[in-house]
Amino acid sequence: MTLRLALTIAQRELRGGLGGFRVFLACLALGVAAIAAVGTLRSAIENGLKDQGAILLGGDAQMEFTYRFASPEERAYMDRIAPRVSEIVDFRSMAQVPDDSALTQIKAVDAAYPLYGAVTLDPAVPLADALAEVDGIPGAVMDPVLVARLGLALGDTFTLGTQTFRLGAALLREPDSATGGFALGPRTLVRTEALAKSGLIGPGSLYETQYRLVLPAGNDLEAAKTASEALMDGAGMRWSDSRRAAPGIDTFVERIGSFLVLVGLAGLAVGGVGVSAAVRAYLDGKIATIATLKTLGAEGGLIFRV
Amino acid sequence: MNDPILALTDARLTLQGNAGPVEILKGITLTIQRGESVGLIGPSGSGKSSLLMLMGGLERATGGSVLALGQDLTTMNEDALARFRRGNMGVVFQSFHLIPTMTALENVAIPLELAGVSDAFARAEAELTSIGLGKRLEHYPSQLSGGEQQRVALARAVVSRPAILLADEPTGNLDGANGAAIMDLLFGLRDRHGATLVLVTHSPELAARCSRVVRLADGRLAPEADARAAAE
Repeated sequence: MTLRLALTIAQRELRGGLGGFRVFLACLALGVAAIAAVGTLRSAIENGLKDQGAILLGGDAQMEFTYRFASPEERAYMDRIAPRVSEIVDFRSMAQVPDDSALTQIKAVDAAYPLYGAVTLDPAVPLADALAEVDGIPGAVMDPVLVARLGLALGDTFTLGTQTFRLGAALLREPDSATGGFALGPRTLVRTEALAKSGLIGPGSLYETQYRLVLPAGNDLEAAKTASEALMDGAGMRWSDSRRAAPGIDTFVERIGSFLVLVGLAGLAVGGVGVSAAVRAYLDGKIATIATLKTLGAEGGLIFRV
Repeated sequence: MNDPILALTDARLTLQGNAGPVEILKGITLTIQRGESVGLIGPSGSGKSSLLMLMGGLERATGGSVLALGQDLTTMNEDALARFRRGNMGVVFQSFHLIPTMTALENVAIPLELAGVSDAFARAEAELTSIGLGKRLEHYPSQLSGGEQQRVALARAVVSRPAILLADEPTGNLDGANGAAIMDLLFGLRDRHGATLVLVTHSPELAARCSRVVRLADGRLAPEADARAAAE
């Protein structure tokens, strides 16, 4: 009876509209929606990174060395555990044209590159064709920004160190660009063997080598990591795999997610002041009604339910 | 006749103000017999409305006792007081205090609904019709004139046939003609239902219509002879 009467009275009260209660509902909805949106976005990015881990990394696993190539023994080990291996050399240099030069981040790759995904070029030619040697001049593909910076046209030449290259295409997209780390200049992509006469790779050069591995299906990444690290203990090898392909992005997403949740909570806290004011304003407007109901004999429980 | 329906003994009311405690009522001893109509008069701030609030259990005495129908209101909790009012008291205010989101019919029916009366709406309709508001049943307070609102408030106060009717300057917000009509209605309803009436008013003429006049000054009762003289 009391509940039914409370509902009846509440229903009558709603004829006056939600009024200031809308502010309360809006504050609550916005705060919760902000936090939920941040959570959803973060989860979506993390799931995307996990699902696309192999493509982002450019392989199921990667072994990285600094200032050196893998030794013949190390390379033999990689060939033994992985059906397919791709070697990448990454370093910075100056791309030069007769009257200009610009810093570029060079990625020298072998014929197996890319193990996963595809390189997008403009014009849309195969990477192998764009990097092929024509009239004794090896090809290269270059970030459009750098192409414009150096005023190059398709087929024009430029030098890296002492080696001349021919611009084979503009590089629109690398499948593994997200894991490339910090780059000081736009990308130039060449064949590793074409760098032999460039004088850029040798003792004292600052470069990194990455060996991307396609492991057999169902391979235990943790076991492979443990075995590899044990074998190359002290050799300066750094292991990464598709489980956490882009640790930099992971960390960034984690930090930005925490920050946005904090912003959402702060918003909710600030909104709480609004909520408090809205509830207070709503109740202030109802004080006369509550007092009248009490005068007429309504008990506290009934008024609370209303 | 010795059938006290309201009995106040040394009733005191002190409220806490910003500047410290304020003594509103300074020991009121007053007995009202069943069926009496009592006019409470006195200057503004003398404590008339506060005394009425004590009688209705809407303020709790800070000293003394307030007996209504033999029950001490000072010892009851809020819910017990609400139940007591629901069954025994009708209150009319100067500002009507109708619930703005309810129609005239719903406003009059609400005390009966709170009491669990099954034919609340039929009785409320009959009450409104009897005072000439049969065509205003579905109107909201904002759609009624001041006089009509106070008539609805009167109907609400008497619909549950209370033994005690408390009226706090019921004509204070009305013009002369409407005020007179409301007072006629109030006394008519009181006579019809036989309730005990306590009427707070500034008007000696209205107080004179009561069977007894009580005068307050500075939180104390004046001698009855003085009160009658003031009313006349």
